[in-house]
Amino acid sequence: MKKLRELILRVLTTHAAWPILICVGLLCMVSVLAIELASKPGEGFADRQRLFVGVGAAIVILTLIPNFQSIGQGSYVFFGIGLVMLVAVFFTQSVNGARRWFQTPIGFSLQPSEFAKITYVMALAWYLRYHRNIRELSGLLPPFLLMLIPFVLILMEPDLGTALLFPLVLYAMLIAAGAKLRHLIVIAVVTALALPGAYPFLKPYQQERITSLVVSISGQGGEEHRMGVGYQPYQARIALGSGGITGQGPEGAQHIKQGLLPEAHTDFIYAVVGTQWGFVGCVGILLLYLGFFAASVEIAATCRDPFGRLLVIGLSSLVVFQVVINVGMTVGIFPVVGIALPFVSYGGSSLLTNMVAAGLLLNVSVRRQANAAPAIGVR
Amino acid sequence: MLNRRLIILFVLFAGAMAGLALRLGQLQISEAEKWQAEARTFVHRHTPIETARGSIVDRNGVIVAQDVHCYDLAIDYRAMNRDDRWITRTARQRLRERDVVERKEILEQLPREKELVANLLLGIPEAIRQQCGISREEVRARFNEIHTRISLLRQDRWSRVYSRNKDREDGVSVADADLKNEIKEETVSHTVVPNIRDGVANYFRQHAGEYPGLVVVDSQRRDYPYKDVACHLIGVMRPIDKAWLDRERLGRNLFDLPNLLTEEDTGNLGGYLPGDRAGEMGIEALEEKKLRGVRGVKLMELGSADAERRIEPRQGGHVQMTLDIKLQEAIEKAVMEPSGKLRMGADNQTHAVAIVVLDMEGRVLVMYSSSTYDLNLYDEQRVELNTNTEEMPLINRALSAAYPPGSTIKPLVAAAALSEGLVRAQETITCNGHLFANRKDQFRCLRYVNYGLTHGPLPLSQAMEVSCNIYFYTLGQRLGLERFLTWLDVFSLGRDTGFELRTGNVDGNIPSREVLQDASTAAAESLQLGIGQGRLAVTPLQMANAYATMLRGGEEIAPRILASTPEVRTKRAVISPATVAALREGMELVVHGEKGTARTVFAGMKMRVAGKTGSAMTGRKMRVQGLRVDGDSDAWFVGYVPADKPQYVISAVMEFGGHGGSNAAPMVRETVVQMENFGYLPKVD
Repeated sequence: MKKLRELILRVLTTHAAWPILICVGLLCMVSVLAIELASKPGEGFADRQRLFVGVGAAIVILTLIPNFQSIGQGSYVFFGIGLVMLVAVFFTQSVNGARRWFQTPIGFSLQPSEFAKITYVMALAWYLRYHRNIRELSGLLPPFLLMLIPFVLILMEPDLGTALLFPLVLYAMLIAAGAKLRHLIVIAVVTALALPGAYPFLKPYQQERITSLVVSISGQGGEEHRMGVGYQPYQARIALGSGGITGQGPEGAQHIKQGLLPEAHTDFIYAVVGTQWGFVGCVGILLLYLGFFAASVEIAATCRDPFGRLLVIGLSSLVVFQVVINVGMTVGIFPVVGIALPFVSYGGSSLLTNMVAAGLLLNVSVRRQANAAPAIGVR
Repeated sequence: MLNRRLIILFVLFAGAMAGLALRLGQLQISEAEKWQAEARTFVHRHTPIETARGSIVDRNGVIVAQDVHCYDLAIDYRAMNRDDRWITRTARQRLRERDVVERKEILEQLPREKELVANLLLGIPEAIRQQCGISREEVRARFNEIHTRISLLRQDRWSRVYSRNKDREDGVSVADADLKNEIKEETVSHTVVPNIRDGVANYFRQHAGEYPGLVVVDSQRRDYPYKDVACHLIGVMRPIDKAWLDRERLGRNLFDLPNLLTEEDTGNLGGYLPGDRAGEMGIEALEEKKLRGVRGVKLMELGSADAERRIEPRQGGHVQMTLDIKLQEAIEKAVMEPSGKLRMGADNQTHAVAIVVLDMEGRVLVMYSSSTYDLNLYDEQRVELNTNTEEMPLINRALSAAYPPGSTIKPLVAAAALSEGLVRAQETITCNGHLFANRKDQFRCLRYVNYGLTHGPLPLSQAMEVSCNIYFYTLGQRLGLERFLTWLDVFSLGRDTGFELRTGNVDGNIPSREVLQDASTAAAESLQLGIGQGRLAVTPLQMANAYATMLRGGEEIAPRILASTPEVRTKRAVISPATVAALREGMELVVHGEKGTARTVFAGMKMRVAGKTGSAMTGRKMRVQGLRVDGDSDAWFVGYVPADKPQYVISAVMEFGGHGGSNAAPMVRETVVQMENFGYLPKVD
């Protein structure tokens, strides 16, 4: 107990930890308010989100307790467990045509891909911490293989959005780990060129969402399009746009209240933020995430341990990539993929995963100087 | 080095967010107004307000067709298709109603509930069959019909999207993509059984839980309180379908909601929605536009109870007939009485009959044609009615069946000959039994044929009284075919009289002018026409109209059934009052003269009737129990009442009835009696 109090005290006296706490705290508040707006009376989403936030706070404290380096020792084991779960999920009942959840006997459902995200970042960080060979093109092969396994498994669920996060996070971590930018750019260009070739392998509804995006960006979506495939993103833009500069437009509020935007409280929560607090609120939220990332950079830069450094960058990029994809989808420049807005979207699995990430960040931040492991990482 | 890498990452993310912020600025600052307007259109709902079809009333304002409230049994389109998403939603809803709200419980019970709902859906056709008493095939047929309707609607929606987009290069592909979308009609209920009994409605309301997707809805149906009386005139309604829309060229006349928010889109509230009904025959079809009415629309903000703006529906207009429905009902009742006395032909069989009563201004007071059918049951009996070739109940014989007029044409022939100065009323023409001295086997008088007797010299009035053929062969001979044809035209025989309703385009038949080319055929034809035979066939309405024209001295007033139709007078010839008087004298003798052909039928009647009998040989075959046999003559009586001051012309025909005097005249007598009862004729003591 004494140790715990000491730990919390250390978090509160660590200057890089403060922005993390403030950003996450504010985002959670926005979350509860927005979910309240987006749900009908009696649905109780906001109350449950409050509960999740409370549980999340506890999880943050719990993740503080073990030394991040000792957690790192178990990285591969955790990663292995994650993969096993990803395979096991194929043997569950399909929900709406996808197998993504485990139903636990105590009521809530568990999403193994959420667990896999964290263990994947840990494993990558653990692998990359001492490997100088990543400056060679051939040295990039193992981390890419490490990425491909969960990527393919999640793609098969199917969950395109979540799967996409894995290569993106790998890129961010390779940049931070010191892989040659030249190599990374070449790989990025090759991947970009190869992407259209992947299109025929997508599910019809995924293809539909991409064509729909093209149709609506090029301004060709007629009314019928808006009432069909393009309905959800279109309603999101209506909600967002009608918020104006400072928000609170009566039309938009009514629009949200009448439930015209499907999934307003989960994936499209950002549109609710836009309706309610307008451009100012929307940009404010983006700044909170940027602040979150800036604080992580600060932690990473001052961390003496290469594993801690990479872990921090991996976890925070994971969060920010989700933000970019989710917001991009809400403002109508990305296709609709099921990616939640971290800390804000309704949902226990997603919030708790992000809380674990935040907890690990704080864990690193309070121990970054103390763990004076020889910094023979990439220099 | 390391820090530089971290800065690169930070800059990348900051750049991405800046990009997002730019897009946000576009949406929320420069386009804010546009999106606010869009939001407005989405939080508002346009709802059509139903209108009511106008009534049809008779000359006294008695309602003969009206919209009345009823219940329809309807099914959700998705329930009909056992749509999986719908079943899931319904199952969830049912769980919620049972207070199963815990996520865990819902997940646990949902599969079972879904299975239950799916099973209940399977039982729906059987329930409809049991409760509504329609066959399983019929239920399936109705489901199919709904499918067809929706696909028609989809097609229409598609073609509209297509036409809107076709100017753009990729318009077609956009429209193709849109085809996949659900249209509103696929998410609402559609009527399966219209007009269900109250008990059935109650049953389905009480057992709603057992039949998910099945609902009882308030509706309207067309009610015909007089059932089969004047059925041919009133007409019936039918649900619109693609063929009908095409035929009426109403393709562009489909219902379209106007946008009350922008006021740019005026819509088409008067248009047709799939499932609408429209007049198929009779006045329902003739006055469709006037009766139909225009739907209204209201603009509601979601979540509020009051309409923000509304356009009131316009009720359909009422249509008034010149007919007296109660008089017609009385006449029909008398004709249809079980003994069948009035429908009995010379062969002691009952036959189809038609009766028309016109007033002197051309208004139809009675138009009866047997057989009739109950308008309220038309939908159920449609096939039967359309395939009954023996009675052909859908045919309005007063209007759409043509018969040779026989001797009833004689007053008209006399009118022509007198007006042309070819005969004088007092001039006698001698009947030797046959027209040509050397041919005793043709152009004979009936008295000669039947009894070997002759009429001797006859003036016009007596020739009419006894219906002497020789006299009228002679007049036909004197007139010649060319003049004859001119006079047929004066009386609008064998052509459109201008009557509003035209069913089947039957205008009768007259010899074509080409016959004139051949002098001997023309001469023979004019002889035959003199006694109303030959190539001549006319409708009962045409005969009534011709007599009225004659009585008015040659002035025709187009017969009409709608009170709103203006009077159209045409005068193609002048028949002098002296001529009319001579003709009337002859027609009075037919009824009241000692030798009058209709004397016995009208004996003892205080009201004086005048007219002419006719027994026209037909040459047509008669259908009896599926066999075609030679028919007796068509029996006619055309006359007017009262004899001294004509107010109404009555034309009656009995198909294959035999003899005009004994088989058609009784119907006219009955008609006159009923007209007296209803006060149309002055009381005579």
